[in-house]
Amino acid sequence: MIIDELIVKIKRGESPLFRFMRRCAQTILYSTMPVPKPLKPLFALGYRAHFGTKFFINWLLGFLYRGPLFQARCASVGKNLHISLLPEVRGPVEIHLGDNVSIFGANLIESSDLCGVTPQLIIGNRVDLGHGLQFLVNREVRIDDDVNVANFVRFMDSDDFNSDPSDPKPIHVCRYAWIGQDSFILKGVTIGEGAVIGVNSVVKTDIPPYSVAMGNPARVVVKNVGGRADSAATEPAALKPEPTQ
Amino acid sequence: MKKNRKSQAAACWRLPVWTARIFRPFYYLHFAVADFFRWIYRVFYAGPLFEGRCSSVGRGFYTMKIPDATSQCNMTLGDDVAFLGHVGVGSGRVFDAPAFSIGNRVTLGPTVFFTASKEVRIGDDVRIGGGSRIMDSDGHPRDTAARVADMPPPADEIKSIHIGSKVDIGRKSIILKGVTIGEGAQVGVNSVVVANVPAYTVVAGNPARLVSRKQAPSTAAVGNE
Repeated sequence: MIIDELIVKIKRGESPLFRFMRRCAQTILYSTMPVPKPLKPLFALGYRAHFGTKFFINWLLGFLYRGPLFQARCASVGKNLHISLLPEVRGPVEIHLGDNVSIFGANLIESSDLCGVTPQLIIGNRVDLGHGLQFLVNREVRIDDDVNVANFVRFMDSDDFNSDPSDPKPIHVCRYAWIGQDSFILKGVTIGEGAVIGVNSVVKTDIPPYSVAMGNPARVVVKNVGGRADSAATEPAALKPEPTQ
Repeated sequence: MKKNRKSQAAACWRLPVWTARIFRPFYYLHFAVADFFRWIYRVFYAGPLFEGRCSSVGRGFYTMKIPDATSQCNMTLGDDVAFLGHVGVGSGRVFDAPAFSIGNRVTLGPTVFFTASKEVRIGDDVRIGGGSRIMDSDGHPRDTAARVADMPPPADEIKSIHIGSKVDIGRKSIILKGVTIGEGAQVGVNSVVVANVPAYTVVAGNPARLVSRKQAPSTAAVGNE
């Protein structure tokens, strides 16, 4: 195409004319309208109005539309469910939600038709779930009370995402646990009470209670963390950043 | 498999080849129109609104989406800053006016998210890959009882982040609290940086470890072109 060749010539700046055209294009395409100083508060107000409107519409949709729809899909729902975006549920999974559950974003809950028993996703009271979570439930995923789950965490209780749920093993997240962003919780894992999973970890084995685990595969880096009554609430040395050398 | 053959044939049906001549201009037209509306949106709406929100923005600011920074932090941007997608800056409820400052000629990829609860400072000529997260606080306190009670993290668990000049940060990296990345360092793709990175080194992995050292350039500056 002639247009492609012309664009490449402008990008390379092959002659003074093309260099001039490149400069013009850069100025027009890659800049922003300058804001005069006196008008700055007006634009700042516009910025707040943009996000205020967005927040209001989202809240309205969550309250009137997405919340009721998701509640209707669940097998049992406690009081005060908070939803901002509608979680997508596929397959025969049975969802039980406790009281005061907050779901901050669009999540995907999947299960296969071939898994035999009805898979269960059981979420306790006061659980906060972040944005972009993925649950693959072919047997059982159980999240106990007061658990915080950050954004983009995946729970998979079997290996395959699609048709063949090979050998599912239930996942259990005990109460007070805190799971960091982008983590992967694989099948058969039990995360102990009050355990902390670092960002971007892949959890393949059980995590003991009140410990910090991170890495791929996740290893326990600190034990007795988080102010349990029998630990002396001391800051363990291993949690301090170690030099990279 | 057999019963799907008919539906597969229907799904694979395409227009005859000669029609490409008719449709080709529409392909270019599609993107020309889309780009035009995107240009209007970012030059006259997204960019100016965000400039109004910042305390200072240099020349040649470019943003593709309107950055989500509805927090109390104080934002300072240098010249020729480019946001190539959705950028978010959040800051908790601990400090009154957290500082978020970006130097000159900084490029942020799509969906880079910052948590600037206290201070995030980025030097000149920095490039940060898409999907990275730079967080100067964990968002929740480490103490279990406080976390269950929905308390903010204590002030000593929030540590400022400094990213030096000429740093490259790979896609989907995570920079955790209290980290200082030295000048000219490179962070590999999908790393989790938990400790300080010395100048002119390459680190990678989860947690990030030293991979190699780079030669620090001599004082003669390298040209932009």
